[in-house]
Amino acid sequence: MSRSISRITSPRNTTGEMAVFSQGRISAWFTMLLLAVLCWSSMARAAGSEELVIRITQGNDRAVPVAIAPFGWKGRGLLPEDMSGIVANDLRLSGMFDPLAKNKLLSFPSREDEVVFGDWRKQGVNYLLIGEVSLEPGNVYRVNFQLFDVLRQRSILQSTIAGSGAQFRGMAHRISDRVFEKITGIPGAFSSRILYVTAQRQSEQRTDYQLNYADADGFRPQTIFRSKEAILSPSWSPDGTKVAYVAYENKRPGIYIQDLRTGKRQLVSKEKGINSSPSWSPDGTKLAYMLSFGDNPNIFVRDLRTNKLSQLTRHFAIDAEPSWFPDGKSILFTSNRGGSAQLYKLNIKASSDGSVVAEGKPERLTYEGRFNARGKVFPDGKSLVMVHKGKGAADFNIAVLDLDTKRFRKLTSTRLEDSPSVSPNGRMLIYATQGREHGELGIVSVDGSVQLKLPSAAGDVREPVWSPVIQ
Amino acid sequence: MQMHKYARSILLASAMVWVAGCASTGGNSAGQVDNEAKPVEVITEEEVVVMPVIDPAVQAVIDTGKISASAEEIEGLLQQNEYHFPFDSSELKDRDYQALDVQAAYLTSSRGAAEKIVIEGHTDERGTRTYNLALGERRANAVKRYLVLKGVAADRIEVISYGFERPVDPAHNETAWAQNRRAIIVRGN
Repeated sequence: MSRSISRITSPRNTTGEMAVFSQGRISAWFTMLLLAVLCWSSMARAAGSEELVIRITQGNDRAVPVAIAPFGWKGRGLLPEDMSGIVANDLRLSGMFDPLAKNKLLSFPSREDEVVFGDWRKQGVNYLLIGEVSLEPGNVYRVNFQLFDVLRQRSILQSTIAGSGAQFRGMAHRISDRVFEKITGIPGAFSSRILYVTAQRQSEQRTDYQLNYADADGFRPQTIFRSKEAILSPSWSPDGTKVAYVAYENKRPGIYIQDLRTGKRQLVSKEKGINSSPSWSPDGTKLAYMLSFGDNPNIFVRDLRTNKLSQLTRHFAIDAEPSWFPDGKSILFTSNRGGSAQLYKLNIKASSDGSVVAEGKPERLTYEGRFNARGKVFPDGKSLVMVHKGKGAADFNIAVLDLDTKRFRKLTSTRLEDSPSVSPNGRMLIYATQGREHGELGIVSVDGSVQLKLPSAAGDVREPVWSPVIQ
Repeated sequence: MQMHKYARSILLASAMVWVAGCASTGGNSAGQVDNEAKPVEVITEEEVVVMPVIDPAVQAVIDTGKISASAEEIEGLLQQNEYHFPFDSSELKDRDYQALDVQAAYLTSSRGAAEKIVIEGHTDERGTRTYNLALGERRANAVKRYLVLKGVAADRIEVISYGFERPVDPAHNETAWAQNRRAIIVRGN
């Protein structure tokens, strides 16, 4: 009984806080000081708590040994960031490389004529990266970098990249991308970014939610939206400039689109009942999402140019969590129409007026176990990733289904995993999981060989989503 | 609960006696002195007999004639505003229907007919956040559909799904999950 009472009073408690300031007869000066202190302390806290630090929980035995020499710098003072350190960290976190520790480097070459292949060979290194930074007029940093195949004793990549001091980290990630692609033949995903939601429970009645984005290595976190009500299912536009997400206001969910550069926010849908799981079409012109109108949840698509709303499913069961196939011709969604939550594929046809119709009946794709949900299609369209319920009560894990061979693989084994998302090169998956105390993020390579954790210092981290390739 | 209510009614009744006494003795007008305070005592005694046992809400349910159960049973069922579900299910159980019959009778009674209610749907933390949002709404709708079937106007009922954003018990075990998989009728909105 007492529980339901506290539930009824909770909304009043949360809105009552503002009144404390207005009622108190604090002098204007003191109020200013107080606000300044509050502002400073919240900023300091935000900066400290939001950064996610990656921890490798399972490494790859077959990681390729590489050496990254500290980049040469003849200018004054220190460089804005340790560029070669960032590159080494990127390659290490990919799980496919094992960079030599800095203190084991025998020499610090920064030009080709300083490289002695024999030394690196003795250390068992397969590849060597060197670089040199110079400052050009207009405060532009130019980085020349060169990659060597140590075994064949030759240069395999030589390039240059330039940018401001503030772009140093981004430049380092670009170098990582180039090196990764040159050696593996797979485009790197180090320049990509992630979106995620943090939730900090302040009291029984109050949780503070934030929508953040950061580099894929967890650095440079930025809050783009904060609220005292839930934020969920963020989704990137294909060009990486906008984000669609669900935010609650006055206990009601709405779907919003926010421009990452301007911060401008636009309401897309606030129908009665649930408005959930926005997902951008590959061409960026449409948004698929779920609407219930307070009754049966179904899949809808809105054309963002004509604003036309089309209903794609009409079923008394739960139809939820739509996501596009990369060709834009089908939609993947979760439905319990067969008695348990499973993934279905629905072919669709779009007209020039913006309307979209379903073609034929949804086809069931998953049969393994009694719960497969929140599916996403890999960039090559050949596999699905999903949340799969295993045997144990809390076994909700990330699994991948190959659509051609029907091979089904469970990749992870922690508790209560959710929200899987594929890196733009299709090699890594990010997901949410329940840590010992808090919700945290995990990354796993698609072959299962590498697993990383991105725990937060305080509060829950959840709803991660990997960006497309950002130019 | 019962004892507490009884004591409160006695207090209320004695307060009424006291107020009535004040009104009659402290009146300034000479015309009121004709009849002394005797009949007032009789009225308050009647109050004491009627009020202690039956909650007005329970009485309202009884008055609808829709429920054949004792006042105690009705009181218990009227307080039962939370309904629990198995994993990934939105099916109500037999004993929930019993409680919902009483809820519906109250909401269509003379006392409850003007009330608006909110039905909250919740899930446990297992499965995905977005699927559970739909499941939570489904649980709340299962309750709503039954109340509507029993004559409560649909526009008096607001449904909100929280998925697993608001657990009763934030622990990660079977007991907590069972508690959290629920739909609740919140009255007095």
